[in-house]
Amino acid sequence: MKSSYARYGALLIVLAGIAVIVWTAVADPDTSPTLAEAADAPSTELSPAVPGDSGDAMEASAADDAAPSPTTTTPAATTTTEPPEPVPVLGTAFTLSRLDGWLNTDATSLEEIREQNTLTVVQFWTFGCRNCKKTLDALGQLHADFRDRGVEVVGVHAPEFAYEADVDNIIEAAAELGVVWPIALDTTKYNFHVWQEGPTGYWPRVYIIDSENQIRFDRRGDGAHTYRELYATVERLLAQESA
Amino acid sequence: MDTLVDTFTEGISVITWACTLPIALPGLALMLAARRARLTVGLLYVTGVALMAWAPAAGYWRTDLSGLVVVIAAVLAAGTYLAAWKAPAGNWPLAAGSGFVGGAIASWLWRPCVGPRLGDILNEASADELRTLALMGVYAVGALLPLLLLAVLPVAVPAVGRVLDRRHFAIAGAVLGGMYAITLAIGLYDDLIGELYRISSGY
Repeated sequence: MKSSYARYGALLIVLAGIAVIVWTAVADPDTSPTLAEAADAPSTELSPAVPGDSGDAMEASAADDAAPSPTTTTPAATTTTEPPEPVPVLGTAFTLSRLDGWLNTDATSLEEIREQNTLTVVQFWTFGCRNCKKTLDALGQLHADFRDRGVEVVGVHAPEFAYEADVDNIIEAAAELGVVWPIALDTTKYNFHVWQEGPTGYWPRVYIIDSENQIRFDRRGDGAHTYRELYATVERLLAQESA
Repeated sequence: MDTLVDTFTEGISVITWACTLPIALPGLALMLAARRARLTVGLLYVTGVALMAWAPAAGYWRTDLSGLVVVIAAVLAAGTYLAAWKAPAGNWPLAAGSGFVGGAIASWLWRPCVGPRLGDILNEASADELRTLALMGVYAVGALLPLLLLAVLPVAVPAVGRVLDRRHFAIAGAVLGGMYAITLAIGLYDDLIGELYRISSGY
């Protein structure tokens, strides 16, 4: 009797598990949110959240990624007499060395790009990474909106697998994906491992580097909320710089 | 609650992604090899994966998988298959150990596809340890759900269990495990996974 209960219980678990897998695949085969919604959101609607300053980022992000909230705080609603807190410095950025070259730019070093701009957004990506691809619309929007205001985006292409190391494949994929910003070819993943110390590096991972080579933003993953934060942090840093 | 559900479904959504292969394939091989203790092996495998995926982000594990460490990891990996194969029904510590160590080694090699939920877990890991560890466990259960179902299936349908218990399935698992350990030791494991990835992505 006891074993038949166990059997029925196990059967229930198996059926429920299969149902959940099928439901997830059918309901949304690619559940990560598109970042187009983040990119499309006018900058005035972006939350002025600072990385790490939210009380519960994970709870908030669950709602953020489901859909852009129509009640997203507007600057008018958050205007206070006190100036916003400065964006914290998270450490000193590394340089990019031992590269196999650059695409989409005449620059030959990260320093050169940094000196020509107020802020540099550095993203580690690889064209075969699905999550990276989802961030490209948001990065493209950021690039278009802030390029004339001294913000440059640098995609550090660190291949996960051998076919992603082929430069022709990278050029083809970059054109296909609309990546028009500078690409640093980190074919050996030297910089990928230097910047992300420890056994595991992540794609995508995005940083903001200021003119003094300080890291002001560091996030992993492709969350729409992450790229909204990125956009808002760029705006805040530019505002701080001009103040 | 929303976070739990979202994390679980994000884990499920990457089941078919090639970037999950580095944890799914060794796990499948281990489950096939472990004829008499699949559930224990499966549960501990998921635990090992979750812990090792979380630890580097939380700052607890900084050892790079290179040089002699690779050989040690490969020998350990081979040992987990042997232990899973040999573990008698009542010897759950041996089965648990093989599952946990096997999961930890596979996760050490794993560079996950970082979606929104997993990104949050990794970003917050050092600041909110227990919560992110628990969420990583939920994510791993989602990503490895087919393995867990494979462990439960023989209980639900004993006829399936009798088929899976046949020696040739265990041999297939052990052979896969052996190939995994060898390719890991000689530095070809990434290339093998990359080739599977390339085929699946059409490049």
